[in-house]
Amino acid sequence: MFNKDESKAVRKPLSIPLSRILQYWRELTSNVWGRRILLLLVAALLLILPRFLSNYWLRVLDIAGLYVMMSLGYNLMFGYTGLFNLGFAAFFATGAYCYAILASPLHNMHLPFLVILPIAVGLTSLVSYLLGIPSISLYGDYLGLVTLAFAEIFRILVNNLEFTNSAYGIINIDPISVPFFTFKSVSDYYYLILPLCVITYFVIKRLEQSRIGRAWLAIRNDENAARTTGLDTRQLKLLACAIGVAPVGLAGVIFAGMQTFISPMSFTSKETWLIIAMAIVGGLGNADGAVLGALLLIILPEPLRGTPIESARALIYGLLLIFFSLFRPQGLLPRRHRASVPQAEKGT
Amino acid sequence: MTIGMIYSLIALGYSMVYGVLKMVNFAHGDLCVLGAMFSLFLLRVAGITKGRLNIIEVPLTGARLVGVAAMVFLGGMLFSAIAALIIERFVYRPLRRASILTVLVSALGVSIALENMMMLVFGREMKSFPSLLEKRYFTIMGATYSNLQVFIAILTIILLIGLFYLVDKTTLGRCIRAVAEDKDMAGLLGIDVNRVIVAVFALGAALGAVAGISHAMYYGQTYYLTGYQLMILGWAAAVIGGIGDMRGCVIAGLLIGLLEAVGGGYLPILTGGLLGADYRRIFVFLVLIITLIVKPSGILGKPEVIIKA
Repeated sequence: MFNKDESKAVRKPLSIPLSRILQYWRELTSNVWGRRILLLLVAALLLILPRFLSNYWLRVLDIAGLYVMMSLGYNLMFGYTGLFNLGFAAFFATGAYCYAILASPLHNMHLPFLVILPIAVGLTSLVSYLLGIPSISLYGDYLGLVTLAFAEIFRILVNNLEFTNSAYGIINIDPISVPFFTFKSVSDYYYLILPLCVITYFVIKRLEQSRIGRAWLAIRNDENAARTTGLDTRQLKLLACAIGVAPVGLAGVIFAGMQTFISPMSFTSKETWLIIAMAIVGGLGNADGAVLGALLLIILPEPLRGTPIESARALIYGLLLIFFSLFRPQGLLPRRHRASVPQAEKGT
Repeated sequence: MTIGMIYSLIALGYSMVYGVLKMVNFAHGDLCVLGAMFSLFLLRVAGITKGRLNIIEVPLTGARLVGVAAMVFLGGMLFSAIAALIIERFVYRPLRRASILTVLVSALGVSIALENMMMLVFGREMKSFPSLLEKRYFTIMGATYSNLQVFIAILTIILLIGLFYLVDKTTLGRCIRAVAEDKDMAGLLGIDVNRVIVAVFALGAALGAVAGISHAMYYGQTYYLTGYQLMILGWAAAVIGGIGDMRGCVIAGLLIGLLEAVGGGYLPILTGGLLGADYRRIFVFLVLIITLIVKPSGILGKPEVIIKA
């Protein structure tokens, strides 16, 4: 009720310069040809980028690409559907361990990448779906607690089971290879991650505009209202659980193949917090925002490496979260409403 | 059992804040550790290690011990309470009418920021925490207790009695209950809602600091990431007990402590060494998940509308 005017008053001074930039942007992109040319330019730039960058920066970009995928998945769960998942690290680890176990000397299994990929992604989705079945009817913080508890259970298991080589982690994981080609250098991985990111982006973008995407948004805005319009909210939320973690599992697989070494230390709750920060900074409920948030939060801190500020990285993430929820809860790139969608951004 | 009491105290902090604000204070675990860190700092300043004054090598006994203990606990409580007030004023209050998801995100931000700040200020290594008491053990009814355990237990019980008295009998307690019941109505009846919320935050953080210090003494160490474990376990206890219900929280806290102790002690024996003591937490979380599925309002909670399905 009062909320709307209040938050607007706070937001105003901040959003004036931003909205002007956005306005130019919109003028450019409202033209079909403008949009196509822009898209081509971006694509060309992304394709030739490895020629100009050192291996170090390529590596940063590879990592950023993985986070883009995860952030997109998180955005689907939290941004569209409003499911507060605090256990993302566990799903990342599921994908990574799946690949690592099936393609490493640990159990002497060396299945090809293209076989493992569907298994790993499917398994990640299945785990999320199964976790969702009992817990999906819980709301907000309760769901957060269950997923957090699940992530802890998962971490304890991975840390102690012989099957996952406990706390030592798994070494000598096979690099990712498709028939006739093995991905070796960072630029190889760049050309693997880039198309995967683009595919994830477009799939999620299409989902967003589909019937299902609109249904998810309806659930986020008002679940009871969504139910009264005849949506099976339970199934839809479970679907969001399963689909939302798929890119996370995918990122985990690539991560394991790229690093050739994983240990439980790589999948702490810090990863989850980072992904949440990305989604919030970029803008919830908007795939572009998720991409922007991931790129910003991975690439911007890089020049600070080695300086004293580096150890304050988590502090900055925390402050960013506070800052954004106070002054710009919709993120840098908020969801744009289509004319047919009524303006109802507010949660409960 | 002692550890269960500590969890009870943390759960109470969660529960009280949830009661008045209907939000989960993610940063609560970190506030507990903050109290412990600060009192460790106080101890360092006073030159106390291992239960004696270092500078002049006086063993801490009698009145001196009481004085130091009071300084440690009150200092930690005060510091945590002040931190909680600052957080409440500048982060949670502007967000009071915002969407619950926004509030959760900001609370998460506070927690991350606090953890990192503690790391920067107090260092990233594990710190040993003096237990102040010379270790002595005695046996009652076949079980062995250390004097530290007894001390923590007595302290907790005193605090709990005080808290229940405060909430049940005093004017402030009545205000807290009124605000928890219906914030707007309480405001209409002339209760200064903001002041009540501030009081609850300070109280919760002070209890948390006691829990944090006890935890540090019990394990003889403190670490800037301890707050994360405390956060999950305290929150779990609050939810299992029925969030908003103080008696439930105490019972659930004890239950979790018991589960951990029994799990840690008997698991390797029961499963023939197959499952080590490392797995004890899993049982706590399983109990949590089962509770949420079977009776989401907690073991003593009223069947409130917390499920939106």
